[in-house]
Amino acid sequence: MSGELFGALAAILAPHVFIYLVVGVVLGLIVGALPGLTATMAMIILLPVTYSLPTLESIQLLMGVFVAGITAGSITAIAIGIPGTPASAATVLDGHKLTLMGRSGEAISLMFLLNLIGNVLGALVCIMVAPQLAVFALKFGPPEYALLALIGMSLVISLSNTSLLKGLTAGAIGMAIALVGVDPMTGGARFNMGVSDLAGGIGYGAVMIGLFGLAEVLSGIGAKQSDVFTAARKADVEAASLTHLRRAAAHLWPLRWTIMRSAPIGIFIGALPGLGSDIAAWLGYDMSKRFAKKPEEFGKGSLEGLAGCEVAKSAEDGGAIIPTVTFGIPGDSQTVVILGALMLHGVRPGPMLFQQHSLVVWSIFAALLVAPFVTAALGLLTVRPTVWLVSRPTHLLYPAVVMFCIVGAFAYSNTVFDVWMMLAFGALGIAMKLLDYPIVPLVLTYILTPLMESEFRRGLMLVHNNPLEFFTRPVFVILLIVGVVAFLSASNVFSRVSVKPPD
Amino acid sequence: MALGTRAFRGEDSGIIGPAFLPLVVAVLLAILGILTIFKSRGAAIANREPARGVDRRVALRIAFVFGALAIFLVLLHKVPMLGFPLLAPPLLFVLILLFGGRFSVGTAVVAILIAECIYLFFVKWLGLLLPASAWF
Repeated sequence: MSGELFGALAAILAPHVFIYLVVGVVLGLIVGALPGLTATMAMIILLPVTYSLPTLESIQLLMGVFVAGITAGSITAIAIGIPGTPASAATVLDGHKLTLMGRSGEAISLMFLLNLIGNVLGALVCIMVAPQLAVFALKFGPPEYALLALIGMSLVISLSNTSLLKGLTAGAIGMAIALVGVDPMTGGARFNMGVSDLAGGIGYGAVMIGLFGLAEVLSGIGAKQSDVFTAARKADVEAASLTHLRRAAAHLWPLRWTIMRSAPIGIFIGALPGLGSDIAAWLGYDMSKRFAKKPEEFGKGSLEGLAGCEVAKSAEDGGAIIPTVTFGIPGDSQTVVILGALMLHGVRPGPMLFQQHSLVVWSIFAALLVAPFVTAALGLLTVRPTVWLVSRPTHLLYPAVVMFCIVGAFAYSNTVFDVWMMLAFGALGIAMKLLDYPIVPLVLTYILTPLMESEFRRGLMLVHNNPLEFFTRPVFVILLIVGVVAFLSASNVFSRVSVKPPD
Repeated sequence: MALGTRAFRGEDSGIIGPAFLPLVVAVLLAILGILTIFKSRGAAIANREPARGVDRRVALRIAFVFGALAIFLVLLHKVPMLGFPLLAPPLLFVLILLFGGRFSVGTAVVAILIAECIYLFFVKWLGLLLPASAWF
């Protein structure tokens, strides 16, 4: 195991590969810090750009954006009190208070250190768990995969939103979208309405760019922007100096229990399909408040509050990679893109990945370990330029992103038809946002439905059309029990903990 | 929704064929639709207030963005004489105005610059086959 890890580390630290990780981190810092632009958005638009790159380089680029994009949202959250990405919403509560108290340099330094620790803890758990899980997953047959996909779908639907009806509706729409195209077993055409462009199904790029790109940018139209400028202009943010860093490092030891509590939460939430850093951050914040020595300080610049959400948020990255590489079931919206990147480069995620494409999967783990250090180093050096960038008017940037969405959607299939589909999904995404429907369940069912359907039908053939025979398979039963336990424990945690900010 | 799935019945030897999952999804969507209608009617009666309103000017702007993008795509697809390098700058100019930019020569110049940079980057550097006009 360690041999493979060191081999992958050596491979990604080679200058011609490492430069892509650095470029990814820089892009991630920018899109993460800018409110309205997210890591998922940048990754999905970059994905077609990576066509021409070798697999290793393109994975490093995307991993850089992934890790840095989730971290950087907190720079904006702390400096000006507006989360740069949804994952940093919980950071605003205590982080921004610290800035108002004149401790911005210290708070941002501490934030970067906490993210570094969270990321590395998540990466280590991922590196230890994923290969073992893959060995177990080798025992899986079609019925087990069908069950796994079903468990994934029901988890994301029931947990990602307060309204079960809305989650279910979003999931059912995602399933319906996935049905268009070719029947996975017989190869017969379904729902293409005689349109030849639909014969291969509705394009992954069009769906993803529409929902995570166009819809996201367009929902930034309106009054929200001017608030950002005024807040950013007024913000008095110090550059992070060595003194700040030293003072921040001194806080780490007293925060050790908070860190140790939040990291497992983040990793667990990450490993559950479809639950992302935003939920991990709220849970981590809530949990540290529960155990805090001085809970009354929460919301008034508590370092424990900052640590609670930051560590959970960053540990989520490693957790989300676990199911992505072992089962091919993405843990959050960013790993949906990582999964897409692997598939576009002809690498099929799943337990065989560790044997067939050992270097690719270990390079993902290596990136999880290296990217946080690059992020912290570059991020700490560029605090003031980042805040300056956020205070620029967005009326040039957002339209440019819309153009990127168009070109990106086109790049997936080289047809204008897919750009139309992207527009349609952009409209769907905006409508869902306005009506408070969750988007992630839709995307995850869209990704998992083909897997579930084909494996279920293959499984039925295996047992001569007698579904009851599934229960004679020990691995199936184990998986069913684990799935039910994960489901119950997760919904139990959710019912006890508020995942929404106190108004 | 279930239209067109019937034709597949009996083709497959298994108890479920290509029509199975579409049928499940169709039934699911129908049930969810009915539940949503009931829920919203219940809520409307309880509140007697219109649902949380969307700022009309923002909605109008978003509609204009989609309109501009649709016109752009139609022209890009149907009028091969124009192509991306000629159509992108006006689109970007309109988008900048809709996102709150000023109507000025400067904005137009910036729009042209950004649009052509995107074109050069994707087409000339990455080799993407965007519909270009015959003149470039």
